[in-house]
Amino acid sequence: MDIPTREVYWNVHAYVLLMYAMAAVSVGAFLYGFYRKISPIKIGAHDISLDRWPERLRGVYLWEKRFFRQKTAGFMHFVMLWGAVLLFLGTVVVFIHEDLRIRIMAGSFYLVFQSLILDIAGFLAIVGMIVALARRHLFRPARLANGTAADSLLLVLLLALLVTGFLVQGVRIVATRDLWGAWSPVGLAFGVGISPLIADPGAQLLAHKSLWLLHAALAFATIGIIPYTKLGHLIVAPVNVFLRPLDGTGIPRPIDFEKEGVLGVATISDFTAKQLLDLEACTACGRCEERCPAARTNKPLSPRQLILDLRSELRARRATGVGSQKPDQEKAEPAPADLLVPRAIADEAIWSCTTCLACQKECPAHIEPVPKIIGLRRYQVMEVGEFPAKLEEASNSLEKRGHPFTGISVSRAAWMEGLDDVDAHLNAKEAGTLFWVGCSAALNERTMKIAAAFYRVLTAAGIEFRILGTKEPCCGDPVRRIGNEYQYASIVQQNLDTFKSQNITSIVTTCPHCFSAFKNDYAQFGGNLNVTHHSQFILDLMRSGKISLAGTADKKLTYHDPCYLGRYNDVYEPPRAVLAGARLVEMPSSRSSSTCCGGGGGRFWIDEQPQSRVSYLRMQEIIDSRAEAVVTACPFCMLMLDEAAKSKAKGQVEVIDLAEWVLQRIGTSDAVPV
Amino acid sequence: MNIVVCLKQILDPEIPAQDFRIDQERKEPTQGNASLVISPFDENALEVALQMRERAGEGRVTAISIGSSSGTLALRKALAVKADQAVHVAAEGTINSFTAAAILGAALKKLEFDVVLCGRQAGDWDFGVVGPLLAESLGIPCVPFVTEASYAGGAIQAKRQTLDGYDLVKAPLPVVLTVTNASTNNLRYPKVKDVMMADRKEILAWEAATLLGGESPDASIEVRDLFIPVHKVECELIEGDNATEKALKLARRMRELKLV
Ligand code: SF4
Ligand code: SF4
Repeated sequence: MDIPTREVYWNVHAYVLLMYAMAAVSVGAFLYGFYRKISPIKIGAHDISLDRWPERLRGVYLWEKRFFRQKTAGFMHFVMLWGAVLLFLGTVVVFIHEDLRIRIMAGSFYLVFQSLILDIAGFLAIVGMIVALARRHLFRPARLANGTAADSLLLVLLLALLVTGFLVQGVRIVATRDLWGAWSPVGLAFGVGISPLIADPGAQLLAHKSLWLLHAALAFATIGIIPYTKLGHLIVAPVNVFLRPLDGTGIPRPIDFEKEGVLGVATISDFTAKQLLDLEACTACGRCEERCPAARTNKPLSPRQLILDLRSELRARRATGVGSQKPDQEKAEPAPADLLVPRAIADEAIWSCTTCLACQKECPAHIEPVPKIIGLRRYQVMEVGEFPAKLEEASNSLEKRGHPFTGISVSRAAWMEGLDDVDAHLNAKEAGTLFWVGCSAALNERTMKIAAAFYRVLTAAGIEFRILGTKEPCCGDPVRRIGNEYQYASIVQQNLDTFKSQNITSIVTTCPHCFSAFKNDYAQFGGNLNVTHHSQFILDLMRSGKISLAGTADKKLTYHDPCYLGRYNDVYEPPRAVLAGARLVEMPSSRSSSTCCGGGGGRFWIDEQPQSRVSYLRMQEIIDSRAEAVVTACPFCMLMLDEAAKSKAKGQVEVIDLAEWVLQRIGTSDAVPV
Repeated sequence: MNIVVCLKQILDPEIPAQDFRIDQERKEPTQGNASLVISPFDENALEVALQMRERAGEGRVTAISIGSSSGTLALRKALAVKADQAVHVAAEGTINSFTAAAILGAALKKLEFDVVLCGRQAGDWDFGVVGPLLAESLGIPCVPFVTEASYAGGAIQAKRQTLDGYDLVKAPLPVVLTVTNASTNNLRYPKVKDVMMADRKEILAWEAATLLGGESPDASIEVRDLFIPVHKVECELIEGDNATEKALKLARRMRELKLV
C-alpha cells in the first residue's frame, strides 16, 4: 500500500512561479507595513525591555485567559487564533516538504496533523468567523456599536479564504479519488457538496485551478494587508503582551527632576516607546470601556477612545514626519500646536479617571491607559498649573497640613480616644510592626471607627505594635495619582527618612492606597518595606490561632473589592477567607472585575452629580446582590459607599469594614453590630 | 509699575477645634502640630498683584512679610508664583495691627512702590485695619474690599465689592488696596519649575528695629484676655410610646423649664 501523502501543487505546477511572485509582493507589503506601523514609536523614550523573557513568554501563553473574560468573544478569538496558527504551520510543513525537499508530509503525520487536525482547525475557525460576524450584525454588544464596515469586510475576506481553501481541497480529493480523503472530512464534504456542479474531469481540473488561484490570491492579499488593517493586532498584540511591564501594572514611573526636560506628557513624543506601541496594539474591542466606571456613568472618558485618539495623533505625526527627531537632548518647550490636552484629549477626560485599573485588567492586549492618563495629568499640574480646583485644594492642604482634606473637624488624635494603652503603643520604639492608620481612616468620624476596630483586634491578639499618632503624615498617594509627582517625591523622601530613623521596616495598614503605595510606589524610591494589608494580617492572626471568631452569621453579606487591594495587588482571597464564616454572596462584578467605588485617582475630592456618581453605580450592584450589608476593606470605599448607602439605598444596606466585622466576632467590642 | 504685597503668615485656620489651644501667658494660640500658612485674603492680594502685572505687561511685584524666620515660607510661595522679589522683616515680640502697619510703613520707605496690596483682614485676628493704617501713615488713599484691579493711564482702576454688587473705583498712585476674595482671585498653582527656581532665589533680610531707627512703635491696643468660647449644650431625650405622648411630655417639660 502507498505511504499516505499527497502531491503538492497537483494540477497547478504551471502557476507555482506566479505564486512565488505573489508571495514576494505580499511579504514585502507585510514587512513594509509593519515597519511603517512600528517605527514611529521611536519618537518616544526608549524603555523596551526583554529581561526575564521566560516570564514574558509565559504571559503570552497565558494570554488566552484574558480572552475568556468574555465567553463568546473568547471562544471566537481562541478558534480563530489557533486556526490561523495551525494553518500557518501547515504551510510551513508544505514549504519544508516541497521547497526544502525534506519529505515530512507523509505517513501518519500527514494523516493526523496535516489532514485531520488542520481540517478541524479550519472548520472551527470558520465557526469562529461566523460567530464574529453574527456578533457584529445580529447580537451586537454595545461595545461593538461603532464597529466599521471595514471590520466586517475583513471577516468576510477571512471566511472566503477558508472556504476557498476547503473547496480546493475538496475538488482535489474528488478529482484524484484521494485514498486518504476521509482524513480531511470537512474538505471531503466540501468536495462532495460541489461535485454535482463539476461532474466531468475537465471541469474538475478547471475548477480546481481557478479555485486554487483564487485561494492563493486571497491568502497573499490577507498577509499583505495585515499591517494596514485591524488584522495588525494579530502581530502587535502578542508582541505588546510580551513586552508588557512585569512589575507594578498601572503604577506610574518616577521622574528625574534634574534631567527631565518637560514634566509629564505634553505631546505624543513624551510617551515612552512601549507606551506608543500600546497604541498600535489596540483592536478597539471596547472591553475596557465596557468596564470603565467613568464611561459607565457617562463621563467624557472612555479608555478605548483615549487610546484611539492618541493613536490618531501618532499616525498623524507619522504622516507629517513631525517629531521624528530623537528626544535624547534636552527637550525644547513643546510647540503649542502639538499639545495633546485639550486639542486631542479633552481636559475633563483625563480628570474623570478613578485609576481603578479595570480597563487594564480587561484589555486583551495588555494596554495600559492609566499611566498615560497620569502622564497627561502630570503635565497639566506641574507645567501648566491648571487642574480641577478641588484637586488643587487637596494638593495645597497636603502641603500645608499633611493631609489632603479641607474643612475637617476632627483631630488626628480623635480615633485613639477611649482605646487601651495608646501611650504604650505611641512610645513603643522597639515593637517592630507599625500600624499605619492613614489620613482617610484617621480624619473622618465614620472611618476612624475602622482604625479603632483594627487597633482593638491587634490588642486582642496580643500583638506588639506601634502607632505614630498625631505625628503620622500622609503616604502621598492622592498627589501621585493627581499627577503632582514633585510633591509626591518629596513626601516619599520624608517618609522614608522617618521610617529609617525610627527603625520601621514592617507596616500594617487598613488603607489599600497606603498599602499599595508603600509596597509598589515606594519601592521605586528605594523603599524596602514589609507591608501587609489588614485583611492579610487578620487572616494570619486567625490561622495562627491568635484570634478566633465566634458568633452567628445572621446577615447576608457581600464583599466589595477595593481597586488598590484587588486589581493593583491581587489580594482577592484573604478578605474572603476571613469572611469564611459569613453568609457571603458574590456580586457578578467582583475580584478583578469589581466596580470601583468612585473614590480613587483624586475623584474622592470632586463633587459629582448624583446621577453620575460611580458610587451609586456600585451601590446598585450591591442592592441587586440582595445582601443586607457590604463588607469592604478600604476607608475610601467606606466613605463613598456609606454615602451611597444612605442616599441611594435609603439606608437599606449597611457598609462595614472587615476589621469591624472581625472585631464583633472576637467579642471584645460593642462596635457596629452586623 | 511697582506693586508691593504684604503677606502675613498665620496659624493654619483649619486647625480642628479639638486641637486648638491658647497660651494664656502670651495671650496667643499655641502652634502645636499646626502649620503656618499665608493668611487667605493675602493670597488673594498676591493673585491680584500678579494679575495687575500681567495686564499691564510690565511691573515688579515685591512680597513682604514680617515675623520670625519661619515667615520665609510665605515668601518662597510668593516667589514660586513669580513675585519678582521678596523681603523678610525680622521682628521680635508680639506684633499687632498697629505695630505691623508701622513696620510696613518704615519698610516701604526703602522700596519703590505705586500700589500696596494687603488682604482685607488677617485670618487669625480678623482686625482688618493694617491696610487703612498703612495708607494713613503714608498719607495716601486706601480702597478696601477690592477683588480685581488694573493699571491704566497713570491711575488704578479697581473693582470694589459692596453689599449689593460692586463699585468701579479709580484712584491715583500711589495707593493702598485691601483685597477680598472672589472667584477671580484664587491664588494660582505654581509650576514645578518655578517652585524649584524659587528655592534658589534670595530673600532680602531686613530688621524691624533698624527700619524703625530704634524706636518701638506704639502698640495702641492690648489684649486683656483670650479664651476659647465654650458652647454648653444639654440634651435631654423625651421618652414616650408614641408621638402624642412624646409631644405632651415635651410640652410639659418645656413649661417646667419656663421655655414657653
Ligand atoms: S482606570 Fe478605571 S476609570 Fe480610569 S480609564 Fe481605566 S477603567 Fe476608566
Ligand atoms: S485598549 Fe484594550 S480593551 Fe480597550 S479597546 Fe483597545 S484593545 Fe480593547
